[in-house]
Amino acid sequence: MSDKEIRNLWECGRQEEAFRAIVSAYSERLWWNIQRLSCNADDSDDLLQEVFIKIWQALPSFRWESSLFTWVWRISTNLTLNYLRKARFMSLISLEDASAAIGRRIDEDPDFCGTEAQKVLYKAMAKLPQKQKIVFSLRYFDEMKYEDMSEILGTSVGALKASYHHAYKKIRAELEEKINP
Amino acid sequence: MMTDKKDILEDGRLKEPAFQIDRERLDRLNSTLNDIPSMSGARRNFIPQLAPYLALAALFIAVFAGVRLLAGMTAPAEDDIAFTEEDFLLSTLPVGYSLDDAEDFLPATNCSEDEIIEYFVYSGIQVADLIEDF
Repeated sequence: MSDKEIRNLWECGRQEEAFRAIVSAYSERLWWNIQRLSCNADDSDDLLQEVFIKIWQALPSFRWESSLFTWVWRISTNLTLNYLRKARFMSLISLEDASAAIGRRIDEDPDFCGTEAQKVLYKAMAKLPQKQKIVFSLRYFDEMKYEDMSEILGTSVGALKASYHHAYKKIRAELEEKINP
Repeated sequence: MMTDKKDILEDGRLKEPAFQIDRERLDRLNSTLNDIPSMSGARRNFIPQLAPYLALAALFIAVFAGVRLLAGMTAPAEDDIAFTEEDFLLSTLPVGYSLDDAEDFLPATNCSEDEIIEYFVYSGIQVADLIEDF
């Protein structure tokens, strides 16, 4: 269902149907995005629920002239950033580096079915600064346009390109070192 | 120098899902998400609409409190501005009197009649002068 059709449902007073249409249009893509950043399926479930609760609560004040796609992604990205900050804080308490924790999680996760190169890729992503991590994930995996990312993250296109370029170089270097020495 | 090495990140397999996630898990999650409206009830959230007004009110209160605080810090102590009985008596004196005159004048209010006459005699004040002054 398109954003316009969802808007029509909302404006006709069929609010729950509109919400369910948003769930069906975005939930899976958002879940995978969160999963790539958290590397934890349970955390991804919880975070996605939080995202949609927030969407349901904020829908009445959403101005439908702006893009639903950008708005939904912005909510998800903000909550994911909060989650990553919290994870970093928890790693400070447990004295284990946040990226090391994700690396250990990937090594121990029975659901991980990727290749060795993917394992290195996820571990390298975990080492990136939070915003760079999100920029890399949105661009590399979701192939999102810089203009959309700019609206979601509130950052200029130029800065996003630079950020993606840095992240790309770091990850490629790590992959080349460990997979293709 | 350019190398022939292929960019490793261009390998499409890297973008494939690396986690084996049950389809059932995502379906269950979707059904939980669909229940959010019935769990939280259809409600209108007025907080975002009221937020700018609340922020303005808070700003006004903060500025008012700040001004009050600054005024309190720069104002003279209450002892300095208290209006004493002595000030009242001074304020009733004719304008032509200096402060020194007033200091001389004030204790005289408790003087006896003889002391007043003595004062007039020694200070050379004539009855005619007094009438002229009043």
